Amino acid sequence: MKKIIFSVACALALTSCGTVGLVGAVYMNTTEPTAVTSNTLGTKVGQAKALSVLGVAAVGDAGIEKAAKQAGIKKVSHVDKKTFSVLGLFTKVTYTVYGE
Amino acid sequence: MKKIFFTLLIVCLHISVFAEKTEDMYVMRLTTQGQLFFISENIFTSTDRKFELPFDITYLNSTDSVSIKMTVPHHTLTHVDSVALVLEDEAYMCPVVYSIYKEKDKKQWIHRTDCTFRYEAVKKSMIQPTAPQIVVYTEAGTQYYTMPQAQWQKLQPHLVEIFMLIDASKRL
Repeated sequence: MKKIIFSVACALALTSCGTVGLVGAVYMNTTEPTAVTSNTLGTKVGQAKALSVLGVAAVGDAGIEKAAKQAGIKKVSHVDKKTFSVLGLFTKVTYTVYGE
Repeated sequence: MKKIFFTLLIVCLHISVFAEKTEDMYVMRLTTQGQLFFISENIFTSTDRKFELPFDITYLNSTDSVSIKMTVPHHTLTHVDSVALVLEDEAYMCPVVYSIYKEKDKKQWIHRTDCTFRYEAVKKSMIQPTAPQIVVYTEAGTQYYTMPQAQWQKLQPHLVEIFMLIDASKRL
Protein backbone atom coordinates (compact mmCIF):
# COMPACT_ATOMS: atom_id res chain seq x y z
CA MET A 1 0.00 0.00 0.00
CA LYS A 2 2.83 2.40 0.86
CA LYS A 3 4.51 1.60 -2.45
CA ILE A 4 1.29 2.39 -4.36
CA ILE A 5 0.85 5.73 -2.61
CA PHE A 6 4.52 6.61 -3.11
CA SER A 7 4.35 5.72 -6.82
CA VAL A 8 1.21 7.77 -7.34
CA ALA A 9 2.75 10.73 -5.50
CA CYS A 10 5.89 10.57 -7.67
CA ALA A 11 3.83 10.35 -10.84
CA LEU A 12 1.74 13.36 -9.82
CA ALA A 13 4.78 15.39 -8.84
CA LEU A 14 6.46 14.69 -12.18
CA THR A 15 3.44 15.72 -14.26
CA SER A 16 4.57 19.33 -14.08
CA CYS A 17 7.90 18.57 -15.73
CA GLY A 18 8.14 19.70 -19.32
CA THR A 19 4.83 21.61 -19.26
CA VAL A 20 4.08 25.31 -19.39
CA GLY A 21 1.22 27.25 -17.89
CA LEU A 22 -0.85 26.36 -14.86
CA VAL A 23 -0.57 22.81 -13.58
CA GLY A 24 -2.60 21.20 -10.84
CA ALA A 25 -1.49 17.65 -10.20
CA VAL A 26 -4.45 16.75 -7.98
CA TYR A 27 -7.22 19.05 -9.22
CA MET A 28 -7.33 21.60 -11.99
CA ASN A 29 -10.20 23.78 -13.16
CA THR A 30 -8.73 26.81 -14.93
CA THR A 31 -9.35 29.09 -17.86
CA GLU A 32 -6.29 30.53 -19.56
CA PRO A 33 -5.68 32.74 -22.58
CA THR A 34 -4.41 30.93 -25.63
CA ALA A 35 -4.34 33.44 -28.45
CA VAL A 36 -5.40 36.99 -29.25
CA THR A 37 -5.51 38.87 -32.55
CA SER A 38 -6.12 42.43 -33.60
CA ASN A 39 -9.60 41.53 -34.90
CA THR A 40 -12.51 43.06 -33.02
CA LEU A 41 -14.55 40.89 -30.65
CA GLY A 42 -17.45 39.64 -32.75
CA THR A 43 -20.73 38.11 -31.72
CA LYS A 44 -19.93 34.50 -32.51
CA VAL A 45 -18.64 31.89 -30.08
CA GLY A 46 -17.53 28.37 -30.85
CA GLN A 47 -16.21 25.56 -28.68
CA ALA A 48 -14.29 22.35 -29.25
CA LYS A 49 -13.43 19.70 -26.66
CA ALA A 50 -11.11 16.78 -26.10
CA LEU A 51 -11.00 14.20 -23.30
CA SER A 52 -8.33 12.06 -21.76
CA VAL A 53 -9.14 9.13 -19.50
CA LEU A 54 -6.71 7.46 -17.12
CA GLY A 55 -3.83 8.93 -19.11
CA VAL A 56 -4.32 5.98 -21.43
CA ALA A 57 -6.77 7.12 -24.08
CA ALA A 58 -7.44 10.62 -25.41
CA VAL A 59 -10.14 11.50 -27.94
CA GLY A 60 -11.70 14.55 -29.50
CA ASP A 61 -10.94 17.45 -31.79
CA ALA A 62 -10.19 20.49 -29.65
CA GLY A 63 -8.57 22.47 -32.44
CA ILE A 64 -9.17 26.18 -32.93
CA GLU A 65 -10.24 25.41 -36.49
CA LYS A 66 -12.96 23.06 -35.23
CA ALA A 67 -14.25 25.56 -32.69
CA ALA A 68 -14.27 28.38 -35.25
CA LYS A 69 -16.00 26.19 -37.81
CA GLN A 70 -18.73 25.25 -35.31
CA ALA A 71 -19.73 28.89 -34.99
CA GLY A 72 -19.06 29.92 -38.58
CA ILE A 73 -16.27 32.22 -37.42
CA LYS A 74 -14.17 33.60 -40.24
CA LYS A 75 -12.16 36.16 -38.25
CA VAL A 76 -10.90 35.02 -34.86
CA SER A 77 -10.49 37.69 -32.21
CA HIS A 78 -9.25 35.58 -29.30
CA VAL A 79 -9.15 32.06 -27.91
CA ASP A 80 -9.44 30.79 -24.32
CA LYS A 81 -8.59 27.35 -23.02
CA LYS A 82 -10.42 25.73 -20.14
CA THR A 83 -8.83 22.73 -18.47
CA PHE A 84 -10.54 20.42 -16.02
CA SER A 85 -8.44 17.62 -14.57
CA VAL A 86 -8.77 15.31 -11.59
CA LEU A 87 -5.61 13.50 -10.47
CA GLY A 88 -4.54 13.47 -14.08
CA LEU A 89 -6.89 10.51 -14.48
CA PHE A 90 -9.67 12.46 -16.16
CA THR A 91 -8.86 15.56 -18.17
CA LYS A 92 -11.17 17.67 -20.29
CA VAL A 93 -9.86 20.53 -22.41
CA THR A 94 -12.25 23.03 -24.01
CA TYR A 95 -11.15 25.72 -26.44
CA THR A 96 -13.54 28.66 -26.80
CA VAL A 97 -13.08 30.79 -29.90
CA TYR A 98 -14.55 34.29 -30.25
CA GLY A 99 -14.84 36.18 -33.49
CA GLU A 100 -17.10 37.09 -36.41
CA MET B 1 -7.30 0.03 3.94
CA LYS B 2 -6.80 -0.47 0.19
CA LYS B 3 -10.55 -0.88 -0.32
CA ILE B 4 -11.31 2.30 1.59
CA PHE B 5 -8.66 4.25 -0.36
CA PHE B 6 -9.86 3.12 -3.79
CA THR B 7 -13.52 3.57 -2.84
CA LEU B 8 -12.83 7.15 -1.74
CA LEU B 9 -10.85 7.77 -4.91
CA ILE B 10 -13.67 6.53 -7.13
CA VAL B 11 -16.27 8.54 -5.21
CA CYS B 12 -14.19 11.74 -5.46
CA LEU B 13 -13.66 11.18 -9.18
CA HIS B 14 -17.33 10.51 -9.75
CA ILE B 15 -18.46 13.59 -7.85
CA SER B 16 -15.95 15.97 -9.40
CA VAL B 17 -16.28 14.66 -12.92
CA PHE B 18 -20.02 14.35 -13.16
CA ALA B 19 -21.21 17.17 -10.89
CA GLU B 20 -22.27 19.97 -13.21
CA LYS B 21 -21.95 23.57 -12.10
CA THR B 22 -23.97 26.34 -13.76
CA GLU B 23 -20.89 28.54 -14.18
CA ASP B 24 -19.23 25.82 -16.26
CA MET B 25 -22.17 25.69 -18.65
CA TYR B 26 -22.06 29.19 -20.04
CA VAL B 27 -19.68 31.99 -20.98
CA MET B 28 -20.40 35.72 -20.73
CA ARG B 29 -18.31 38.38 -22.45
CA LEU B 30 -18.57 42.15 -22.58
CA THR B 31 -18.64 43.60 -26.08
CA THR B 32 -19.20 47.07 -27.50
CA GLN B 33 -22.66 45.92 -28.57
CA GLY B 34 -23.71 44.54 -25.19
CA GLN B 35 -23.15 41.39 -23.14
CA LEU B 36 -22.60 38.24 -25.15
CA PHE B 37 -23.83 34.98 -23.65
CA PHE B 38 -22.90 31.54 -24.91
CA ILE B 39 -24.59 28.46 -23.46
CA SER B 40 -22.37 25.43 -24.07
CA GLU B 41 -23.43 22.46 -26.05
CA ASN B 42 -26.25 20.22 -24.90
CA ILE B 43 -27.47 17.15 -26.72
CA PHE B 44 -31.00 16.12 -27.67
CA THR B 45 -31.75 12.64 -28.95
CA SER B 46 -34.07 11.69 -31.79
CA THR B 47 -37.28 9.94 -30.81
CA ASP B 48 -36.09 6.74 -32.51
CA ARG B 49 -32.77 7.09 -30.62
CA LYS B 50 -30.78 6.81 -33.85
CA PHE B 51 -29.39 10.33 -33.96
CA GLU B 52 -28.05 12.97 -31.58
CA LEU B 53 -28.53 16.69 -32.02
CA PRO B 54 -25.83 18.76 -30.30
CA PHE B 55 -26.78 22.42 -30.08
CA ASP B 56 -25.51 25.58 -28.45
CA ILE B 57 -27.05 28.99 -27.84
CA THR B 58 -25.56 32.42 -28.46
CA TYR B 59 -27.26 35.63 -27.38
CA LEU B 60 -26.31 39.29 -27.42
CA ASN B 61 -28.41 41.02 -24.78
CA SER B 62 -28.88 44.21 -26.78
CA THR B 63 -30.90 42.31 -29.38
CA ASP B 64 -34.09 40.28 -29.30
CA SER B 65 -32.83 37.31 -31.30
CA VAL B 66 -31.07 34.18 -30.13
CA SER B 67 -28.86 32.11 -32.40
CA ILE B 68 -29.18 28.34 -31.93
CA LYS B 69 -26.47 26.47 -33.79
CA MET B 70 -27.02 22.75 -34.17
CA THR B 71 -25.36 19.79 -35.86
CA VAL B 72 -28.09 17.90 -37.71
CA PRO B 73 -27.13 14.33 -38.62
CA HIS B 74 -28.67 12.38 -41.47
CA HIS B 75 -28.01 9.22 -43.45
CA THR B 76 -27.95 11.27 -46.66
CA LEU B 77 -26.63 14.65 -47.72
CA THR B 78 -29.65 16.92 -47.58
CA HIS B 79 -30.78 20.49 -46.91
CA VAL B 80 -32.31 21.72 -43.66
CA ASP B 81 -35.39 23.78 -44.55
CA SER B 82 -36.64 24.95 -41.18
CA VAL B 83 -36.57 24.23 -37.47
CA ALA B 84 -39.32 24.41 -34.86
CA LEU B 85 -39.19 24.61 -31.07
CA VAL B 86 -42.21 22.77 -29.69
CA LEU B 87 -43.29 23.44 -26.11
CA GLU B 88 -46.14 21.97 -24.10
CA ASP B 89 -48.79 24.31 -25.52
CA GLU B 90 -47.10 26.34 -28.24
CA ALA B 91 -44.52 26.14 -30.96
CA TYR B 92 -42.05 28.57 -32.51
CA MET B 93 -40.75 28.37 -36.02
CA CYS B 94 -37.46 29.40 -37.60
CA PRO B 95 -38.35 29.48 -41.30
CA VAL B 96 -34.90 30.54 -42.51
CA VAL B 97 -32.02 28.29 -41.56
CA TYR B 98 -28.44 29.13 -42.51
CA SER B 99 -26.10 26.33 -43.44
CA ILE B 100 -22.65 26.79 -41.85
CA TYR B 101 -21.08 23.65 -43.28
CA LYS B 102 -21.83 20.07 -44.29
CA GLU B 103 -19.46 17.13 -44.05
CA LYS B 104 -19.28 13.37 -43.80
CA ASP B 105 -18.74 11.95 -40.33
CA LYS B 106 -18.21 8.20 -40.34
CA LYS B 107 -21.43 6.69 -41.72
CA GLN B 108 -23.58 9.78 -41.64
CA TRP B 109 -23.67 13.31 -43.01
CA ILE B 110 -23.68 16.21 -40.60
CA HIS B 111 -25.22 19.59 -41.35
CA ARG B 112 -24.10 22.41 -39.09
CA THR B 113 -26.87 24.97 -39.16
CA ASP B 114 -27.71 28.29 -37.56
CA CYS B 115 -31.28 29.28 -36.80
CA THR B 116 -32.64 32.36 -35.09
CA PHE B 117 -35.49 32.54 -32.63
CA ARG B 118 -36.90 35.33 -30.50
CA TYR B 119 -35.33 35.50 -27.03
CA GLU B 120 -38.64 34.97 -25.21
CA ALA B 121 -39.33 31.83 -27.26
CA VAL B 122 -35.98 30.26 -26.42
CA LYS B 123 -36.23 31.26 -22.78
CA LYS B 124 -39.70 29.72 -22.44
CA SER B 125 -38.57 26.48 -24.05
CA MET B 126 -35.42 26.15 -21.94
CA ILE B 127 -36.95 26.89 -18.55
CA GLN B 128 -40.11 24.82 -18.79
CA PRO B 129 -40.33 21.73 -16.53
CA THR B 130 -40.68 19.27 -19.42
CA ALA B 131 -38.09 18.97 -22.16
CA PRO B 132 -39.00 20.85 -25.34
CA GLN B 133 -38.97 19.18 -28.69
CA ILE B 134 -36.83 20.37 -31.58
CA VAL B 135 -38.33 19.48 -34.96
CA VAL B 136 -35.98 19.64 -37.91
CA TYR B 137 -37.53 19.75 -41.38
CA THR B 138 -35.18 18.60 -44.12
CA GLU B 139 -35.60 17.75 -47.80
CA ALA B 140 -35.07 14.09 -46.83
CA GLY B 141 -37.71 14.05 -44.09
CA THR B 142 -38.58 15.35 -40.65
CA GLN B 143 -36.65 14.60 -37.48
CA TYR B 144 -37.90 14.95 -33.91
CA TYR B 145 -35.48 15.50 -31.05
CA THR B 146 -35.90 15.82 -27.32
CA MET B 147 -34.18 14.94 -24.04
CA PRO B 148 -35.17 12.17 -21.59
CA GLN B 149 -37.10 13.71 -18.70
CA ALA B 150 -34.66 12.49 -16.02
CA GLN B 151 -31.78 14.14 -17.85
CA TRP B 152 -33.82 17.31 -18.44
CA GLN B 153 -34.60 17.59 -14.74
CA LYS B 154 -30.85 17.78 -14.03
CA LEU B 155 -30.19 20.31 -16.78
CA GLN B 156 -33.24 22.57 -16.44
CA PRO B 157 -32.34 24.21 -13.08
CA HIS B 158 -29.02 25.32 -14.55
CA LEU B 159 -30.77 26.80 -17.59
CA VAL B 160 -33.22 28.64 -15.32
CA GLU B 161 -30.27 30.19 -13.48
CA ILE B 162 -28.55 31.20 -16.73
CA PHE B 163 -31.67 32.86 -18.11
CA MET B 164 -32.20 34.66 -14.79
CA LEU B 165 -28.68 36.03 -15.20
CA ILE B 166 -29.41 37.08 -18.78
CA ASP B 167 -32.62 38.84 -17.70
CA ALA B 168 -30.72 40.63 -14.94
CA SER B 169 -28.09 41.77 -17.45
CA LYS B 170 -30.82 43.33 -19.61
CA ARG B 171 -31.85 45.54 -16.71
CA LEU B 172 -28.35 46.97 -16.13
